[in-house]
Amino acid sequence: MIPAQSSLPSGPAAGPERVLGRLRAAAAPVGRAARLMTRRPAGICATVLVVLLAAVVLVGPWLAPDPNAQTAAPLTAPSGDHWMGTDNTGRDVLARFVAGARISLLVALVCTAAATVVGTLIGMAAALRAGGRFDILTMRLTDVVMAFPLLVLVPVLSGVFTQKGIAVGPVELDNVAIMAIAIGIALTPVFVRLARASALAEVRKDYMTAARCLGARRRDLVFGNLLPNIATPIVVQAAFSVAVAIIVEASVSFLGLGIQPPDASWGTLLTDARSQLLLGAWWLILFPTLGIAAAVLALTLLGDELRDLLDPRMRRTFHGKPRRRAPQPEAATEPAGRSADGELEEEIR
Amino acid sequence: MIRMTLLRLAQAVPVLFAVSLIAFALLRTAPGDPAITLAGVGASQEQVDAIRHELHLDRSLPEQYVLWLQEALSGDLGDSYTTRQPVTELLADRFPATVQLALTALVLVIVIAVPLGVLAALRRGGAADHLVRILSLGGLAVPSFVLGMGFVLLFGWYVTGVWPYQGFVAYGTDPVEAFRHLLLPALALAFPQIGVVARTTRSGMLDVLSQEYITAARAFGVPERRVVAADALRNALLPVVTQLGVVTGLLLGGSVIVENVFGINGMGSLLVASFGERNYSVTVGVMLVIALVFVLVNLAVDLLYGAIDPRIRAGYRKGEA
Repeated sequence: MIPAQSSLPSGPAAGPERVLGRLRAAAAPVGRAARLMTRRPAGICATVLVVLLAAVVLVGPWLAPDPNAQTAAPLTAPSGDHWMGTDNTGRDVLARFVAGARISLLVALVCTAAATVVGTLIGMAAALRAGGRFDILTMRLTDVVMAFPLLVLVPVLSGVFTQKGIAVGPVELDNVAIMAIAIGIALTPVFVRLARASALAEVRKDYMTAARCLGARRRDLVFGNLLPNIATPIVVQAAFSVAVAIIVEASVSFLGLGIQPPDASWGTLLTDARSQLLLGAWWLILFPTLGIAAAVLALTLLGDELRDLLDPRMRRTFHGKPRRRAPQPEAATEPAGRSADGELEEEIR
Repeated sequence: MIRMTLLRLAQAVPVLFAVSLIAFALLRTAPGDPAITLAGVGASQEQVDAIRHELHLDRSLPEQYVLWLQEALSGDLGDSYTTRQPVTELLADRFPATVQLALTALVLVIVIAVPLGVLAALRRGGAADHLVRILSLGGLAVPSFVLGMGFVLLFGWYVTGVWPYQGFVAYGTDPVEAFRHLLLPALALAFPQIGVVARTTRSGMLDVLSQEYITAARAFGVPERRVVAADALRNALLPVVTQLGVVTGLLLGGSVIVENVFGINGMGSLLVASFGERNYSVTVGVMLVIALVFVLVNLAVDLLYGAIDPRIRAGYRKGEA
């Protein structure tokens, strides 16, 4: 791992220029990734969908009217006034769709982020003490959580705790938070297993042994060496897990055990649609479905593309040409072996 | 084989034990006091105390758990807080509908996905291959309950009177009507899994077809039909069998949701209703039964896999697994 700063011109650069340079250096991988993401049709699809969804979530609420205002005639089909029609109480479906996107995507992102971080940490800790008490306990725990189908565990957890209410200190958690926690708990075991399995494979490799022999601190060993090398499958899994979380949220909210009305989520929109099905209100079911489908497709394609891009065998293309090292005057005079060691030491530090 | 069975059984026991612990913990953290709920409105303090004693709520929590587990193992999961019916009776009432729905869906998955996957592998880039790709993306993107709602809209509003879209008939009473009633919910439930299983079949098939023994069989002049059906398929289906275990679990979980769209009185609608009534003994009962079935299905799949593939059995014999 060559630190990002090493590619910057060192020396007496002016303040603002230096900050700008750093920003540019930090943004470079993002730009490269964006260029690579848009090279293939699937990547373009994923990028366009992600940008669209982000726009709906970030800008939508300022443009769309109040999602709970009952201003129009009930159950009107899509028209120029109400692009997605109105529901049975005369609320604008577009406004509810936009508000629902916010909650659905927020819940999915937050719970996946939490599950990813917690699961990866636990998995790495288990792998480092493989066969130990902590490892065995964690693996049995993941077995237990995975013994429940997702669509049973999440509604039961969120249902019980929504009705009971949980407070963290003085803050009473609302059902959006409870929902995120319930899905997060259900998703964590996958990350624990994945991180543990990948870490177990990495720990035995020579570079880890070398780093350990050189007396690397445990923290640097884990976060500097191990984590970057097991990150790829975890990042890919995270993309897929967001898609799963969106579907689980919609399903559980549809049952009435997740997000509670009048809060809108794509799941509760579908609950509203269900009672109007036999009145032929197709627009109530079509638009939330499109939202779910778009989000899930975007994340699935994104996951597929990420897998290809981040795969070590593809890494050369991801980082562009192999980095050219700046000529160092002293490197020529020193024996080759020593300089390699020095580099390794620097890497561990 | 016996050694493997015993080992896998031994692994399942602690999991089931922990599952029961979680179920009990949920039962006790659920809001409300079951004794007061069961005693009903206007009950005297003595009556409430009597019920509390009967439910062992006057003991310590570990004691409560042991007593609850003993009763659960002997088939007593307590009484419904509302109707005072034994929970096991309620579950036994609702379980067949869920199982029949899930099994119908499983059959649909196998009948549609496996031939499709084989076709896709035999003609890469052909129509079946494209269909598999579309189905696996579409299956991910459209949750089964949404597809189910689409069916209800189609047959309940646009083309009425052609096909039943609500309710349940058991296979035991009238097989034809049962299938007619279960087809739409089972199709909705199966849809997300069809693409996945077809894809596994396709890649398993491609994998096997490129192996030397297939080339050898062809070189010996074995008819292509036999090469595919007898020699290749059997080996290609190994990963599919493993996956069907996961799929069965997903179908069971999914049926909880789909039942509610089609008005089928199974475990799923029982689960939802139990929350409406704050009837947590029923909630926990449903959860326990589904988890139990899920664990047993996975166990069965592991054993089946061992029965098909001698290499796995050998692994257990050597103690590698």
